[in-house]
Amino acid sequence: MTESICFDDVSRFYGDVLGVNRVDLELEPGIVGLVGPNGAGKSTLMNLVTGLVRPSRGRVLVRGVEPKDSEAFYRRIGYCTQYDAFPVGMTGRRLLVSLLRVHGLAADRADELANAALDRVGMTGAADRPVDAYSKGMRQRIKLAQAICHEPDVLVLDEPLNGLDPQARAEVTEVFREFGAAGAHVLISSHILHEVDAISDRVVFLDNGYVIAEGDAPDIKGELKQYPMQVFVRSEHAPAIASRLFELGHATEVRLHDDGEGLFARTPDADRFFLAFNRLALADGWHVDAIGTADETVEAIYNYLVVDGTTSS
Amino acid sequence: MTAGTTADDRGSDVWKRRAGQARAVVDVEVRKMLGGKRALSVCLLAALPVIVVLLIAVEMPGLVVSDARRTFGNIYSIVVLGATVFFGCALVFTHLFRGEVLRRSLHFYFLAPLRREILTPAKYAAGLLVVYALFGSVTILVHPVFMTIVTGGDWAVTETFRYVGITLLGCTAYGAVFLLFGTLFRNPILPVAVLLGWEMLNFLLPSGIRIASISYHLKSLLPVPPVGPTFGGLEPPTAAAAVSSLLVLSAVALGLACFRVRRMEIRYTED
Repeated sequence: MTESICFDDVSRFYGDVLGVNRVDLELEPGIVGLVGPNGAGKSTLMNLVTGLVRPSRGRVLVRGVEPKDSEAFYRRIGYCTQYDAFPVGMTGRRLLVSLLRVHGLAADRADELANAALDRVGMTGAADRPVDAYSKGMRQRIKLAQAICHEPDVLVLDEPLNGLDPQARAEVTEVFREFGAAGAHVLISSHILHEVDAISDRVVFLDNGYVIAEGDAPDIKGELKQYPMQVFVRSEHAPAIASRLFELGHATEVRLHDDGEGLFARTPDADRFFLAFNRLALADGWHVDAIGTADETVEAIYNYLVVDGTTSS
Repeated sequence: MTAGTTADDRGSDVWKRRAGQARAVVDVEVRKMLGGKRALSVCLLAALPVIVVLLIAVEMPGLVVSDARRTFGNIYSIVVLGATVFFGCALVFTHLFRGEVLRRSLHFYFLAPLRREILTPAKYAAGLLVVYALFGSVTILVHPVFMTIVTGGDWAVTETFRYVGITLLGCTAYGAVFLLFGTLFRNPILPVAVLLGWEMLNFLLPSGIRIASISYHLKSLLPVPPVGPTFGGLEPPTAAAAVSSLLVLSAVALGLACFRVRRMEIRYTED
């Protein structure tokens, strides 16, 4: 319990505008993806975790510490915010060293940690240039260095991959994995869903200020019985399979692949679909190269829950 | 993790760490102030008394000492206190928090394990260091220069230091009030304008209200009583009362600013 991040019936309103409402979550250490459209409440949730805003109702506890205990709390928190702004006239190294000094560290320790963080995000070479002259990707990396330089055990990252080239994305993603593997909490919000999918141990889906699902992607999908599941089949008999699936009413929608040797089928009941498919394959002698679900990804679940608007019903 | 910042939380170590944090904030803030665009405006305000004193002094050489002292007292109260210290402090201190909100960089401090009751006085101290250095130096410069030019060198160093003391006290009081304005108002220009009007037109107010003015107390400390209606109908406060009133005002304003900053949230989009 003390090692988790707990939201206990947390709501946050900005006047009449809802930020998040009635959030009850307990997040264990590991990498957690926060997914939702703009205005879903991701940044509010992150600001609540980091104590930059206070709940209108409820309580947030991060590894047993409340944000009001600022000295203990902020030693544990590193936050890479969405704000692309820095104190005036500082170099990357000066920024990190100054912030570490504000953390209360001695000068030599601050230098040591700043150098380590710069190295970790690949900014050692540009460390002595003014931040104002950095490219977007470099600013993103120095923000990340600022978030990790004091070795926090809760790392909160608001769109941390924005502006990064593919190689830099791979490098910083590896840093997130290292933090997660070391037992830290890593909360990531990103619109790049396949990357969230690739690195997250769990995903929290938000929409209109509410948590609409949370867990690992296959578990969430498993709980969504009422939503049709998408199945892909690779077979030279794809057109025949499509026709039979429709005939027997096991698919609500079938889409043939352009090459004619594959199809995507939507089914309201995956278990019945696979059972029926096996029987048909044996009976009709279909040769099947591959079969599987196509929508246990974060992106597919996001499309079900948010884009298709199915949660509103 | 958190190996980097794990600190010994025993009493004396806590305060040692907090003192180190405050020094770090002062260091960052002074660098930002000197490197920021506002530094030029503040320096121009600091240069204003030098220019005015030189222009006036060359026009009236050979004054008797008493006239020279009275003339300098008037220049000082209008130009140094009324313009340089007032507007310089407004530029520096209203910007300490408000500027960071507008620039969207305040979260860097709020995400540090730093009590906001330390952050606020540390920022205030940084502002004071800058305005003390600039406006104090200007005061040290202009008094001897003026007196030397108009009297041929007949001036008392104790009087120079008295003016410097008034400058520093004015910076302390105005600084604390403007710091508070910067935490209370999204646009501090309006309250600054109201305070300016209050300070300028204070003599029109009933005597009981008139004492609620920073300039009233500062002018009571001048070596030569100012001409004009500042104290009309009122006995000026004693030096001890004036100094202690301004220090109490500064402490109260700083305390209120601490309270406001403690309750601040980061919601840049609303600003």
